Amino acid sequence: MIEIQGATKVYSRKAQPALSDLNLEMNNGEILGLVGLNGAGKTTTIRMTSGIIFPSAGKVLVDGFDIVKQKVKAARNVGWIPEFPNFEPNAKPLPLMKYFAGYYGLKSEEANKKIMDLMEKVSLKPYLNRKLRNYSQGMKKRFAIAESIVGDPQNVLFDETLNGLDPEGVLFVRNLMFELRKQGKAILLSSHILSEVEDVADRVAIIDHGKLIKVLKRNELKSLGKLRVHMQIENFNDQCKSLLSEFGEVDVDHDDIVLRDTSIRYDEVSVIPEKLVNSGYRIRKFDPVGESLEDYFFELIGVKR
Amino acid sequence: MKPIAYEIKRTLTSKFVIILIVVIVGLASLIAYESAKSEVPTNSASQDSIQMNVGYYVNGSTLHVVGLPVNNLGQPSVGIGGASVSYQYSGVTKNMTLNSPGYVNATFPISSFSQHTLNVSFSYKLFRGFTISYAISDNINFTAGYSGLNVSEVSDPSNGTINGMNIFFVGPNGTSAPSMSIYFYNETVSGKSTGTIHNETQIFYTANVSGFHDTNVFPTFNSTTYKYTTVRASINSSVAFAIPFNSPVYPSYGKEFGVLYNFSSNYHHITQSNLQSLIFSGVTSIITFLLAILAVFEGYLTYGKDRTSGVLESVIKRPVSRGTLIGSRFTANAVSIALAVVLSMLSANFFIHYYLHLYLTTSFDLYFIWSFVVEGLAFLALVYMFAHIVKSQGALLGSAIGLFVVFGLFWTTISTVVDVAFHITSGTSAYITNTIAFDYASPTGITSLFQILFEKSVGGIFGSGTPIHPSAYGVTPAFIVLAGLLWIAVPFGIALWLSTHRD
Repeated sequence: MIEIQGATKVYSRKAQPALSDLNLEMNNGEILGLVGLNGAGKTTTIRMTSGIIFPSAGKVLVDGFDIVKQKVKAARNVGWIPEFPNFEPNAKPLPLMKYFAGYYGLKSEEANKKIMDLMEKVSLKPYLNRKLRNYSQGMKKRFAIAESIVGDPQNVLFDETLNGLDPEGVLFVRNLMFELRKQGKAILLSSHILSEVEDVADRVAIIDHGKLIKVLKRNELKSLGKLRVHMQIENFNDQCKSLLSEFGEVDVDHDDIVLRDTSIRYDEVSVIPEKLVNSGYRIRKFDPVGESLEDYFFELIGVKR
Repeated sequence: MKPIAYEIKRTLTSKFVIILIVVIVGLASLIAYESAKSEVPTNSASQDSIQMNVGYYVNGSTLHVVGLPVNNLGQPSVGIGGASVSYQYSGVTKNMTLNSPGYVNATFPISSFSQHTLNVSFSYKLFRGFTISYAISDNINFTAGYSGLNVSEVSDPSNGTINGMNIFFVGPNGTSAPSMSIYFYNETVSGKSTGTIHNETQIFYTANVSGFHDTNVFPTFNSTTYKYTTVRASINSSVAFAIPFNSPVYPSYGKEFGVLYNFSSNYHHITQSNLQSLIFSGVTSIITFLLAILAVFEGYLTYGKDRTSGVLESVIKRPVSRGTLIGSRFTANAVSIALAVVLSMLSANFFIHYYLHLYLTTSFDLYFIWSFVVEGLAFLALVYMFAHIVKSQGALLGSAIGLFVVFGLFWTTISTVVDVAFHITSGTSAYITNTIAFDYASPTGITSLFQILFEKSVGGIFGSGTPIHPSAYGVTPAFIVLAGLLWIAVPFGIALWLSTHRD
């Protein structure tokens, strides 16, 4: 579990704070999505949580340990996969992994076994003899995933990890996050691909200009903004259209009917089919959806698309 | 794997570090080799040379030739991989190969007693693989019927500061030498290679020998008294005449029975000061220069570049404090610097001992190693400090090169410019003060201060600078140690503070 308490980060006195009084929690057994525009403070949040940079104010607690004052204990429980992994270019993966494993006190045999398992898991076993400078960006990301969890951290931070990965890689990362969540670990996923976050996150934190705007739970993701209903009705006619108009704006395109800009909430949507059926209409399709996270996000931060 | 073990391995297996260590140790070895070799007395056989002692005796109508190759220590030797000897007498040639040290004898029928010339060709492989060949001729004295005495100069294997005589004797029918006395005496008249002993009171060493074919005599005497003086040796205290080096002496047991060999001015007593001077004049300057390069660029490549490029973040995120991380990288770099210095010192000692049979004193070795390790660590600490001050790789590389150029290349020039600017004359108190102040103000100056402390002079190689009392100018072991520690501690302390307090 990670608790970010009133964290502020000022890089330059002349510039606005990169983070301003950020309060956020990452819970065990949960995937927390972190979304925001470029420069919103996502990477700063993650780097601060990993102990790479110091907070100007506030603090970050990793499983109760302060990442600044109790760095060694706190960092043992954090795995960070950076957006652009950067390793010793002339190092080969195995010696470097053993070096990293040494910081977690893994004994030689245990470390070797774990490293080989991880390299197999990230599909890099055939490339163990290559120097890291000869790895592609995708391979470096896979290696970064492996080296970040070599110490079996309780909290794993994925910073734009899905960027630059092939579809298989995306699937792998997604499954890895689910697997880690299943193990009770706390996961943070920052991404600008909001649909990806929407698909996997249990909660989504939206930050903008270094400030936390909103934290949404998974059930809230489905009912963001105003409700929209996609329908197909066998005996649709003008009276039916008039009936639906009571709930919002009706668009008709051949058999497809879309009810927009509705005036009712997601949990009250059953009123619509009930009224249609009572009026003698036969419903073939009824699909209520909220706004996409992306729509909601831009609406929230006040950016017109 | 312990992280520090990886750091050390990474540093020591870096191509740059390997090349620099090889260059430092190689050049230090080469300079020590050349310096030590040049110190070996020029008129004596050099350490790796072999000389052929040849004698003969006549038995009826057969000429018996007796040969024994010895090295400059007077020990039977055949060089590297053996030697070959060719005796030629009266149109007959006998070729022989010596694979192990010992006598090499041959016989020739004497068809005519008018044939006096015995030719000897000798070749052997030298240290470093060169083949040396030379030829000598002997004029056979059929009247005496044997060659008698050969004398040559050799060095004492147990003490390279002492030269002695190798005496080779072939008597009638191959018999060994009769009793005889060997005299060493101090001759103040220079340039006399032959002649009688001028003053018998100058005899300082007498050795009585007998019953040998080949033996060595090394005088024991007060080395200080005879340092840089002409020493002559004789096998008769009232020698009437002398014969040239390596020529046979006809044993007439009268006034003719004598040989005078002139050790002359080459009898240079080697002292610790001489050895230290050898180190200061050659090895020191090259290590000062190259060690600065090693430290500066090693610091850049293994810490500064990693920090400015972001590579270090892949380590900082581990359960390790920033202080431990910077400390372990610094330690790993320090190991390679210490290794380069210690290997250089060992190799210099090896060559000095190989040629001069003396080791540098332990205190000198330790001071030498300490001062160079301090120089290296100071440069390293400076680069670490700059790695936390500048933001980009380019700026850091520029700073590293600047450090090397200012402190490693032009510091002495800057000192000289200051002398010129302030009209400070060489040899004056102001000059000495300025020189010493500049030494204290640079990591490379620590070795210069060390040199001043040992040589008690400023501004030149042993004995050629301005003599001073080092302590009068603040050059004391305590101050040098303190300055060295400050040169490491201050920049490293700043780097450590910045690493733990700034991103």
